[in-house]
Amino acid sequence: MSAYTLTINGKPHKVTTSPHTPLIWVLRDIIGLTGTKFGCGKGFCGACTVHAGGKAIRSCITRVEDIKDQPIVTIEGLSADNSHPLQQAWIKHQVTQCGYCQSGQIMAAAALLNQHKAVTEPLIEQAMSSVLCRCGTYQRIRQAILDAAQQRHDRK
Amino acid sequence: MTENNPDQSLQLRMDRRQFLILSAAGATSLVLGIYPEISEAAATHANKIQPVAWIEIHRDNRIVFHMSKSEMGQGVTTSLAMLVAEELHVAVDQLKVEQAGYDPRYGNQNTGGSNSVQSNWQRLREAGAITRELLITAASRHWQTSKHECQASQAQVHNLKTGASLHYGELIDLAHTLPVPKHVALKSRDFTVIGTSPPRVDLPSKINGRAKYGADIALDKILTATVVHCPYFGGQLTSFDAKAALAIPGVRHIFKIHSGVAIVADNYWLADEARKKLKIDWQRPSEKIIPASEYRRLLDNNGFVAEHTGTLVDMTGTQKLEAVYELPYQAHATMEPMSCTAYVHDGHVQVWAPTQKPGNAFNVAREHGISPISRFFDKAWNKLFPGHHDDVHIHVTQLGGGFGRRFQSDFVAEAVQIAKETGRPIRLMWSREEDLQHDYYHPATTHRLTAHLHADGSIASWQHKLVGNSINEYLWPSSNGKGGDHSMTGGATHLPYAMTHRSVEYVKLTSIVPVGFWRSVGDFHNAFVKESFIDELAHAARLDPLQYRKQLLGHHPELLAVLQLAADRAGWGKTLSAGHFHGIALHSANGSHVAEVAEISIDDTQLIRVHKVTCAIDCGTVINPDGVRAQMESAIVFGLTAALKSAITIEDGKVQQSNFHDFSLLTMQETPQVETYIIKGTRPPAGVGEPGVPPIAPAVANAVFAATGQRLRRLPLRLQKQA
Repeated sequence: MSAYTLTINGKPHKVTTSPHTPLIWVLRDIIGLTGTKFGCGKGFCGACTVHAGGKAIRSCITRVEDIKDQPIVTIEGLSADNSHPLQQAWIKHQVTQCGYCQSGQIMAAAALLNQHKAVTEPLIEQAMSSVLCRCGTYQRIRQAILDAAQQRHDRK
Repeated sequence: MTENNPDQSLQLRMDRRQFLILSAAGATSLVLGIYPEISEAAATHANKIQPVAWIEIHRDNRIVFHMSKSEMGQGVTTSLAMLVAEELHVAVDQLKVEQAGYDPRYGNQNTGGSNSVQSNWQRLREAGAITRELLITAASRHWQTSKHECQASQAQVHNLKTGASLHYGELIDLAHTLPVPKHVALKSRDFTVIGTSPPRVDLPSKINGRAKYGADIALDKILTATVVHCPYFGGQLTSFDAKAALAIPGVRHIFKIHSGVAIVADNYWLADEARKKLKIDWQRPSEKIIPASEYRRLLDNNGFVAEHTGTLVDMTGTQKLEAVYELPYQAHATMEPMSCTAYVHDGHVQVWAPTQKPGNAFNVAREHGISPISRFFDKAWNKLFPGHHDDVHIHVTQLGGGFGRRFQSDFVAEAVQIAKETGRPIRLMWSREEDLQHDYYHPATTHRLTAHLHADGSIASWQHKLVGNSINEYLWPSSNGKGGDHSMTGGATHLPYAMTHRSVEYVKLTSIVPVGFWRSVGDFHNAFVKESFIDELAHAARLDPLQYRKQLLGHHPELLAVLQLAADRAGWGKTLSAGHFHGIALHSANGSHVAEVAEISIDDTQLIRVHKVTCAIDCGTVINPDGVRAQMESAIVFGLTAALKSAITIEDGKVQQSNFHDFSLLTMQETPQVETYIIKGTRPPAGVGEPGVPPIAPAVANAVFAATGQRLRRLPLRLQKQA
């Protein structure tokens, strides 16, 4: 057991746990942030995607000891009121169905927009194709990301 | 666990009357949820009226709609709210929609068979109309005027003479003294809500992590559980050694339950670590599983005749075609693995279940959570005092996908058993491996189609024989031993195409392999073989597949319209991009007719790429056009996964696939552009959750034939690699 102070959504959280504990279970079972979802436990589906140091990571295969001092952002920390451009685009395109994979989809998309000034459809497909959705909302996700990127471009 | 749970605002208090949860939704805001025991008193609370089970009008003008079906992504939260809103004369966003738990007052809460809108079309509009009429009567009494002078809109009643208005909430005291109307007239046209596409009611909480699924309920002192099942279907636990596993700090309990070995720990990862250290001996079953590769041989056995219609004519001079089609088992692979939260405490059973069948979840929770002696006394008590309720509460959470998997209550039984054994609230979460290997699979089937064609292509005879494990026989053993199984033959019988003679025969197998309902059930496999074989006949008759179908559909204007719409919008017969080819398929299921045109190409590695799918649907009265489009997009992706990628295979008595690397789902890159066109009908609404699935696999297979001349008769579709 080791003690860690993690910065999650801008707030420090002290946890005492095994260094090997995957971040997802620190978030869900220890801290109680259940917006991050468990899908496969092997990094295949992306439902557990969160940001560490601004980059998208799969929290089910990332050990808490490897977080170091990188700030963590989960879906709960994306905005206080669904105002993030991606959340707005998700509303506009009525993307969600069962919703279970959507935290991971949105966090993966947010990291993509953080890292690229301009996004193209092939870039979106490359970044998003390993985030699985059994309800098949991909077409709307693609449109929503393009839309959010366009909105950002228009504001500049 | 408290030391690991720093958020002290999470608490749980429970007494006989009230169950109160404070759940932290994010660190900054608190959501207060009160779950009162439902009683007559609740219906006549001073601050609200509840003229029908689904609707409450509150003094503070809140209008609550208790949505009594399960939301699994199909959009039922919105579409059912629309039915209420239409007749209650409110906008959808003026309703506070709450997911109802199990309550017999709501009637059948089973959510499946694309039936929620169909079965609520009448009663929820009536519920809205009854409430509205009650409020109008109350307003007319208040103003001492005739009801004709009163009109309801936007959650208010207006006095047409004076221009005065009263909010619904201001009318509850008067309304409470009035009889609830028994007869109401419903609008048959001039809808203001029905036929529009309001924003999905369930969406906002699904883009910020606040929506609660089966393992997301915050309860004080909660532990995490997982279950290891026997890898061999029909096998049993012999013994297990948990010493090494229990030595891990934070691993609390390991014990046998009815379905395997339960592990309870402070968090999921610890439970999973414990699983790796468990030594378990399983006993294999004595019964063998007939491999799907044997089904071809079994086609020669006699089967149950599901349909035998028309007359046998002289086949001289006809052209005979025969083909065998094979489809593998399929898993539901909902993105949320099986999960459930439960707390069994002093004879009270609380369950938070992502279930498609709340009534069954209730029965299962009662069976596993309440002792037989208590159940006996409860029953006696109930006879003396009717209306006494068992102390079992099923809260229905959001479902992280359903597709028929959550029609079973196996995970509820486990959660309740584990909670009872530990005395603590527990959240059960299966691993993905357990989820894929312990599903209720869509059964593997093999089909033989035989047809005789006249020179003009008309069908003299059509014989369809199929082999596969019976779904109904597995779920309800011996229910219909010698009979057929509509779940297996649905979509094979009662074909709209003109045929002089037709027979459908089912060689029914029973097996220890768990099988169940999977989005579109028998229509999935039967549409694949039927629409592929019709395509084979068209080519044998040297006719265009669209023209051929139209020729066979003479008496079915609705089907012709759907088929033509999809073909026209896709540009059937027009020049496509180089290397692109079209395939078409048509199928009716759940009361709806759907035609799909797939535009495909074959890449250098012989991989099938689907670029575009044009879909046309006639689902009768359209409640929510965007909801219909979303379901068509969803069904096409779901069907394409099975058409192109996924299969469950069984070897040595167990499932070979274990996670998404070997049971792969369609990705965004592989997802075609989907265009949906809706025929606005006037008949009552039909289903939309499932009927988009069946046509896609044959549409793609037919396009592959157009592209390559290869007839692919096995799913998933694979072209022979060219040397």
